Amino acid sequence: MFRLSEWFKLSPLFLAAAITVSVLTLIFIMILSEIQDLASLPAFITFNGLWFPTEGLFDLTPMLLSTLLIAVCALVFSIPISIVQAYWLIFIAKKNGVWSILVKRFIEVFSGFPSVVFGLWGLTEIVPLIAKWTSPGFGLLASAVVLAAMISPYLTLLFEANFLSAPTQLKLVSNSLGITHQKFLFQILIPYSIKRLVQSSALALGRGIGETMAIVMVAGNVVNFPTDFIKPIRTITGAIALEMGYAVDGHRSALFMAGFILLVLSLLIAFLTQDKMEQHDAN
Amino acid sequence: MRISSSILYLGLIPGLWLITCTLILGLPQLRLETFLISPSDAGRAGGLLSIIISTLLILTITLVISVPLASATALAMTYFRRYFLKLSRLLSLSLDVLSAIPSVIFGLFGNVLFVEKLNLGHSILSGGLTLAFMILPTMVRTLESSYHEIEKGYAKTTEALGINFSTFIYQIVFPLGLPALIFATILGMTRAMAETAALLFTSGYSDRMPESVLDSGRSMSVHIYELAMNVPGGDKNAYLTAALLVFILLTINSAITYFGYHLNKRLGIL
Amino acid sequence: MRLLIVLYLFTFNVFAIDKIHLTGSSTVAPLMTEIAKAYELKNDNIRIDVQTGGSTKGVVDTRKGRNEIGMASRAAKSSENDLIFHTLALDGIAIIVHKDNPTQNITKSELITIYTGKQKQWPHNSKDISIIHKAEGRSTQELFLAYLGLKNSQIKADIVIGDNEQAIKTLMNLPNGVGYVSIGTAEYHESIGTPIKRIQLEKITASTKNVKNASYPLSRKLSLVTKKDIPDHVKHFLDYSLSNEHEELIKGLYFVPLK
Repeated sequence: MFRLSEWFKLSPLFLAAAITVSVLTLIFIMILSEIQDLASLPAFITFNGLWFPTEGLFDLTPMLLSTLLIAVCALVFSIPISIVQAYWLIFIAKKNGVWSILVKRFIEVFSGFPSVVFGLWGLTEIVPLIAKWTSPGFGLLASAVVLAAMISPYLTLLFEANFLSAPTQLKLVSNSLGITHQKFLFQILIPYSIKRLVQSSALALGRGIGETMAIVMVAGNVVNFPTDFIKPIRTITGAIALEMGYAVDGHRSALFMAGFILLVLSLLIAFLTQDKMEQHDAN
Repeated sequence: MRISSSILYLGLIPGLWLITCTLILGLPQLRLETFLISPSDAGRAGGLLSIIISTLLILTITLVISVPLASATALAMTYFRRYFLKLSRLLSLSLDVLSAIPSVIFGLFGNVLFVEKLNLGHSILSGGLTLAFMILPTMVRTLESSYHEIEKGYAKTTEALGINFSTFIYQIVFPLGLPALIFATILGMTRAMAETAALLFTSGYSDRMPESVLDSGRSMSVHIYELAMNVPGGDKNAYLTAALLVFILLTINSAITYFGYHLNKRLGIL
Repeated sequence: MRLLIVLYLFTFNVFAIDKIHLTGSSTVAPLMTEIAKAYELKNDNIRIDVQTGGSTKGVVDTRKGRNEIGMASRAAKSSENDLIFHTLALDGIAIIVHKDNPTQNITKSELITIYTGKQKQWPHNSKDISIIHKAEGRSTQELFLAYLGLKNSQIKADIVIGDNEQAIKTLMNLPNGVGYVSIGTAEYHESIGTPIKRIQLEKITASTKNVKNASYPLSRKLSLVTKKDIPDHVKHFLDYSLSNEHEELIKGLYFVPLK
C-alpha cells in the first residue's frame, strides 16, 4: 500500500502503539510471575471464611463477597440519585442558568476527586456518626455510603450522556401530550434507554469493585462474610493495600492471586459492557 | 415531584459536606511554613515542602513518559482507523479493557516490574512510571477522538493534494491537535495527582526531601492516607493536605473546562 | 515548566553519594530514622533511607539483598541463622484501652477470653468490646499470639489494623476498645495526651523499667539484621547505631537501652 520510506517514517508511532497494547500483557505476566502455584486456585475458594495466609489458609470468598456487596449496595444507593440528577440537568434545570451550570460543574469536579479524600471524610465523619448508633462504625454500611458518594457523580455524568442520546422527539411528543415528568421518566425515558443505563451502571460497578483507598479506611478490614450492615469487613483491594508491604513468600503470592482474581473480575465486567455497546451500535 | 427534588438535594449533600469539611478543617492550618519546610514528627508538625516536591517529581516523570507515548499511540490509531479498521477496533478494545483495571493492580504491576525486576526500588521513578502506564488509556482515548475529527476534516484535501500520510499526520494532524494534547495532559495529570493505591507499593512513603528520583518519596495523596490512618493527631494536617490537593485539582479542572471549550470550538463541535 | 526541568536535573545527583537502605519493623523504624538523621549530620555523602514493612519483610529483604540493613522487632528464628541479628534495644508490648475505661489490670486468661470472643463486654458497662488486632505478618501480632498461646485463626477481632500508630488512632475513637502496641508507642502517646492508657498485665505495669528488669511478660528484642559480610560504609553505620551514644535517643522513644 505504501512505500517503504512511509512505513519507516511511521514506525515510531507503531512502536508506541505496540508498547501501549503490550501493557495489558505485561500486567498479566508480572502478576502471574509472582504467583507461586496457579494450580492452587481452588484453595482460594473454599467457602470456610478463613484468610490466614501465614498459616496457609487462603479463602478469598468472604472478601470477594464483601467486595461485590459493597459495590452493589453503593450502586443501589446512587442509581436513584444519579437518575434524578441527570434528568434534572437535562429536562428541568434552565439551560445555561446559573444554578444548573453550578450543579453540573460541581458534579464534574466531584467525580474526579481523589478517593483518599473520600476515605478521610468517611473515617472522620461517617464512621463516628455510625459509631454513635452502634460501635465500632466501620463496616459495610460506612463503606457503601462512602463509595456511593464517590461513584454517584460519575454515574450522573454517564446517565446524562445516556439520556442525551435519546431522540429529542420523545420529549417533544410527551410535552405535547401533557405527560408529567414522572411518567415521562419512568414510562418512556428509562425503558427507552435501559440498555445504556445498565451498561453505565456496570461501568460504575467495575469502578466500585476496584476502589481501594476510600474503602480500606472505613471498612474495618476484618475478614468476615458480609452478613450484617455494621460488621467490619475486608475487600480484596483492602487486603492487598493492608498486607502487601509486609508480605513475603507464600503470603505475597496469595496477595497476587487475590489481585489476579480482581483483575479477571474487572476485565470480565469490561468485556461484558463492551459486548453490549457493540450490539447496541449494531442495532 | 417533591420526592425527586429531595433526592436531588440529597445527592448533593455528600459533596457539599465533604468540601466544606475539607476546607474548614484544612485551611486554618495553612501557613507560609507549609510551603517552606518539610514535615516533622511524622507529619503532625512542620510543612509539606518535601511532599509537594515529591508529588511534582512523580508527576513530571509520569507526564514525560506518558505524553509522547499517548500521542504517538493516538496518531497510530488514526492511521489504523483509516487503513486497518479491524486493528484499530482491537486497539481500542484493549484500551477500554486497560482503563477498567483497578489502580491497585497497577500498583502490584509496578511493584513487580519497576521496584523488583528492574531494581529501581521504592522510588519516585518507580511510582512515576507506574502512574504513566495507568493514565495512558485515558489520554490515548481523549487524544484519539480529537485526532480522528481532524483527520476526517482534512482527509479529502490531503488526498487531492497527494500528500503522504506520514506528512499528513506529522505536519497537519499533530499540530492541529495540540490543544487536544494539552487537554489530555491535564486530564492525565488530575488522575495521577488523585492516585494513591498505585503509589503505595511503588514510590514508598518516606516523607523526607528526595535527593534524586531514585529516592523514595511520598505524594500528597499518600501523605493524606498516612496521616489519616497511621498518625494519631494527624487529622488536621491530613485535612490541610487534602484542602491543598483539592484546591490544585479545582484549578486544573477549571483549566480543563477552558481548554475543553476552546478545543471544541476549534474543532467546530460547539 | 523550565523551573520543573531545572528541579528535575538538580535532583539527579544520585551517583555522588552512598546510600544505605533500611527496611522492616515499623516499631524500630522511628528509632533508626533518628539515628540516621544524627549520622547524616556527621557524614556528608551518605543518605540513609528508612522504610517500614514489618520484621519478616525486613529479614527477607536483607537475605535477598534488597536492603543493606533489616530491622526486626524480634529475635532470630532458627531458619534465619544465615544472617546476623544485632540487638539494638528492648521493647515490650502494652495492652491499651481508652482513657475513660476504668480497667486497671488484665490477666493472661482474661485476655484470651476477650480475644477469642468469649467475653463480650467490660465489667463496667454493657457495651460490646471492640477488639483491635493486627494484620498478618506483623511481629507484634506474632509475639502477642505466641504469649497467649493462640493461633491467629482463633482470634475474633472487630477491627484489623496495620501499624502501631493505627491501633492508637483507632482506639482513640473507641471508648470500649482494647488493643496492643509497642510500649514505646503507647508511652509516647500517653505523654502527648492522646486519650489512651496502658493497663497492667498480670499486675505488672507495662513500663520500660519492667521490661529492663525482665519482670514484664510481653517483651522482645529489637534487632538490626545484616548479612555476614557487609561493605565498609554499612559497617561504619551499623557500629554507630549499636554504640552506646544513643541511650538518650532510645529512652526518648520509650525503648529500653541494653546497658
